[in-house]
Amino acid sequence: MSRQKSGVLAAFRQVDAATDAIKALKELGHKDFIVYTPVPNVEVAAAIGHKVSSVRVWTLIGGLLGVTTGFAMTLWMSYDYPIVVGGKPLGSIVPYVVIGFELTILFGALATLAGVAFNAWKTNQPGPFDPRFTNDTIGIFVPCEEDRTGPIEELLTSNGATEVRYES
Amino acid sequence: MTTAEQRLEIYKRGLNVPTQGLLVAGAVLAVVGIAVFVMLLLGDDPGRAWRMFLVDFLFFTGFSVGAIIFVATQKIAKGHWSGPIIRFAEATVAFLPISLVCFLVLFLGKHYLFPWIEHPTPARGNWLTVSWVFWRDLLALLSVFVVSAAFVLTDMKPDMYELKDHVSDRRRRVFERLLGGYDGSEEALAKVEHRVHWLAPLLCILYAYMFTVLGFDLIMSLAPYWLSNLFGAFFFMGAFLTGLTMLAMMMVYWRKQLNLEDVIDVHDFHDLGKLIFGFSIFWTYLMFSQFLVIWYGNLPEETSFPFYRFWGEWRALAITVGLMVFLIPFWGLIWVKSKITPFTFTLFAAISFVGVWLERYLLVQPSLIEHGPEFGLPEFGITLGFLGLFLLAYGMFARTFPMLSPRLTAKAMVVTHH
Repeated sequence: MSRQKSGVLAAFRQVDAATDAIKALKELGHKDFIVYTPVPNVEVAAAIGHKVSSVRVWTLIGGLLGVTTGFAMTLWMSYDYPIVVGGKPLGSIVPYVVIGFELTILFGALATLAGVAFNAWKTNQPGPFDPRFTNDTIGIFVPCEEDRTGPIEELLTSNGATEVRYES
Repeated sequence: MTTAEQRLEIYKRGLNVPTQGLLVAGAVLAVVGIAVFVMLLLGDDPGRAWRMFLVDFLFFTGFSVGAIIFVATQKIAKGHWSGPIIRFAEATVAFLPISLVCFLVLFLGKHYLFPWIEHPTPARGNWLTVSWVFWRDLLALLSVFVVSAAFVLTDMKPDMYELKDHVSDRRRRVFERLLGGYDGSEEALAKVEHRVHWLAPLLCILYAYMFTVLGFDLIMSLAPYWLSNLFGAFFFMGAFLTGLTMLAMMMVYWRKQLNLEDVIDVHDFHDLGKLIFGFSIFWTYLMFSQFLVIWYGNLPEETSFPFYRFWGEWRALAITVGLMVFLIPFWGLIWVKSKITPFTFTLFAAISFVGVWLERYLLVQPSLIEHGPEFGLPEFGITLGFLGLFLLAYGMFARTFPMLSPRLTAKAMVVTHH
């Protein structure tokens, strides 16, 4: 992790104000700002306009791996230690569908968790934080040099920030 | 124009919809279908006509009620996103009286359909006797139809009241008669909403019970020694799936006809696509749940039903059904792009829709005939006749009632930020 950046930290009480500020920042060409929201928020996400997360690829791969494992494991065990049960063939696909399905869900879910953790780690940007951003306030942090805070502070305030301060 | 005027302009589009095409196509197909049906009854193999009549009765009744059940689930879950498309599903209520008549006609051919009439099955006690089956199924259908009609009518009242000054005299008289005491006041609206939220769960519960009985009586009893407890759920959830796919096709059709591109957007396609995707999986799940226990138990009276369909002459049809209801919609609709593109969305919905029709065919026919599947003029003619009757009923509804609900559309727009 690199050293914490310095910049302007603003607090918003209104979702609309925060999205307006995000749009205004993007129009001015800012790219590396950080937005904190206490709850997942569709409007904020749309304003930031991230591409679709790659987590779903993790889910897909996990699921496919799970279904393969489910069938491979059950079939291998049946032939490795052959016991005929109820007159059924050794490698009975029908009941193994249940195992295959369960492992699809299990591996898919675990891979999703891993994907979330990996992406969170990879995209994590160190920046100043305020505990209120986990409660009832949306925060926006715009990294910049100390002598260039003026226009950014003005932009954030004019869009409805309830509090703006410089953090170094 | 103000927002209110713009909105009214949109609702008026849903009030004066072009139904000429639907009505003409419906009338032509209905006449052709009825002619084919009568011709076959007078021919040397009336049984073939009756079997297909049963298949189509089950399919068309299933998706008509299934679409209304979708509306009920939306009311229960307070899903506002479906507001602009809800009337396209509710309009199937117009087919229910026709379905009831078809049920009465169906019993004229009872000797061609129910093997337990000629060969009584003591193992089922008194459950399978003509009068008992007829009356309980009639009661089952009637109860679902009456509650459906009351449900849809109640949901339409505020819309009819709001738009009654923008329609012809004939329609206004219809509206005013149906409105009853509704006067547009806050209390009246609250009463309507209360009644809708009370009727919706009642309808869902009735549907589950009554369509289970219909599935048992009209499909399972054709092979009277076979039984599967889950079969009723399989039958009515398949019907629910066709309700969704029918709505999908109607949504695309009306969106284009009424220029509703600004009202019905990408999110509606995505949401309905996800539902169809999910219920395709659920259909497979219910099918497999029955198959697994039957396979494991390996009792001849249980295995005969599925195995006769999965092997031999019916195998190709069984595989086609599996592909059309599960695999193709699954891999087709798993992608966001294919759900939000009207062409692929319609294509996969239509494949699933026809797939369930084939599934109903596969459930009914092998129990009654000695040879493999046959598709010819009788099968397609009678199906087109049913399609004609459905389009006719649907068109009559669309000609009379507002196809776009002002209050539900407005709510959807507020909630989903259009």
